[in-house]
Amino acid sequence: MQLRALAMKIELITLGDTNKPEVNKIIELLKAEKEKAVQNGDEVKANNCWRELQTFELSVLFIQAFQNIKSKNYRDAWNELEQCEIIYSFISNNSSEEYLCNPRLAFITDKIAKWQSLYPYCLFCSPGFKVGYYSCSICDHKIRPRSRCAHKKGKVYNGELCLHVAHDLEMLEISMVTKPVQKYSVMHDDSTLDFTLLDRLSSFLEHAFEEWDLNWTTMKFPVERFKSVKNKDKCPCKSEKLFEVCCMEKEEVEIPHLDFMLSKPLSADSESITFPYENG
Amino acid sequence: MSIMDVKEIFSIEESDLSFKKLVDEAPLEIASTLKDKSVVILPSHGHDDAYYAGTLDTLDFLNENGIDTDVYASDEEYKELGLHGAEIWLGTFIIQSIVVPIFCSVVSAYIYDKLKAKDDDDIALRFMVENKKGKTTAVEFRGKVENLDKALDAIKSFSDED
Repeated sequence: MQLRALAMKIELITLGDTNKPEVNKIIELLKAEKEKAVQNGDEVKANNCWRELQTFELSVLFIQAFQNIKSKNYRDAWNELEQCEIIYSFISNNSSEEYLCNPRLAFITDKIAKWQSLYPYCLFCSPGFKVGYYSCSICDHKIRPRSRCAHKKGKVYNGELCLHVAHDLEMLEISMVTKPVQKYSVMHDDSTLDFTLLDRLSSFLEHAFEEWDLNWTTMKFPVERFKSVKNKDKCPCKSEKLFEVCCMEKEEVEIPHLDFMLSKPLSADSESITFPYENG
Repeated sequence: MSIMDVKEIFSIEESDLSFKKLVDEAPLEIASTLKDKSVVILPSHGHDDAYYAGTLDTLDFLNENGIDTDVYASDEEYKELGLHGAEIWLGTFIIQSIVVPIFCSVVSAYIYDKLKAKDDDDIALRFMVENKKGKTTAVEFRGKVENLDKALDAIKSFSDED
């Protein structure tokens, strides 16, 4: 596809790149091509245009999320990472293995979950509701157990994604959960949380597509270094027990440890270990 | 274990529900279609008219994979529940013992391949197997996907008892 070749030539790495006129030009061209393909009944081409547009949008959102992490707008970045996850799932559901091997897509999907794992969020609200019925977003067909249309939820038809639209919703309850369907429903006040992991990693990275990886292990420290932990606090080893009944009497406390692996050499002082407790 | 973690539930008990009883008590418009089904999906979560979100996807997957399945609701009555969190609420199924082996392999494929469940994901389901003598045994499981095999092994063992 010529447009794909053109799209791939554009360097889309920084937030500045996303505002370049040629990026907008490509997006407008893809939209026009898709429209033309729809009118000509060329479903394959229309779907290809949809895929390229989604991949563009995914790249832009991922860059925005990275910039927001760097600017300490953690919540905005969290929401954008969730959007990236959703867009990727739609692309993945409508693409060949070969398309998904595109290094940029592979990079983004690998890094979304890793960035998310560095967030301290652990409590979310989630609505429980009853849905009267769903309809198809493409043909408006009322979806019933014994009555379906020709469109499958999550698949693309003539450049348009099929979704099921919920009707006659009856709200039942709001619950607190640790694994939400909607990740944006964070219940925390960000000002009370520790975002050190995001800060530390993003401080080493110049742009969203610089290679990095992480490795969770554990590390032992002398118990004297945990003076700021009170007897009734949760144990730093994350056993969920109180410090006084868990590791307080031990000589060393084994706590979770995270190594960041980067693709470039760092200065000697950058490789120091950050100890997460005060006066330690 | 945090207070937010769900404690695993795994229970096996006898039930007085049977395919015949279901068909006898079903609304007229669905009674005849339910009669010959291998699997029927029942309302869940304490509701008598609502099914978990995604039930129609499960229904399609089972039918597309050779298991003649239906839901215990007319097209007009059918409603879905959207529930808390990313836990996989699969639903309640009554299963003819003859299809239990294929049902287990199709449900596994649905959970792992279609829903792309990971070992650490939470899942909740209830399988009821009616054997040739009309005796029904219910297996309830709520816990990590990695431990789901014990529920599947349990229902396979009832079908072996025939």
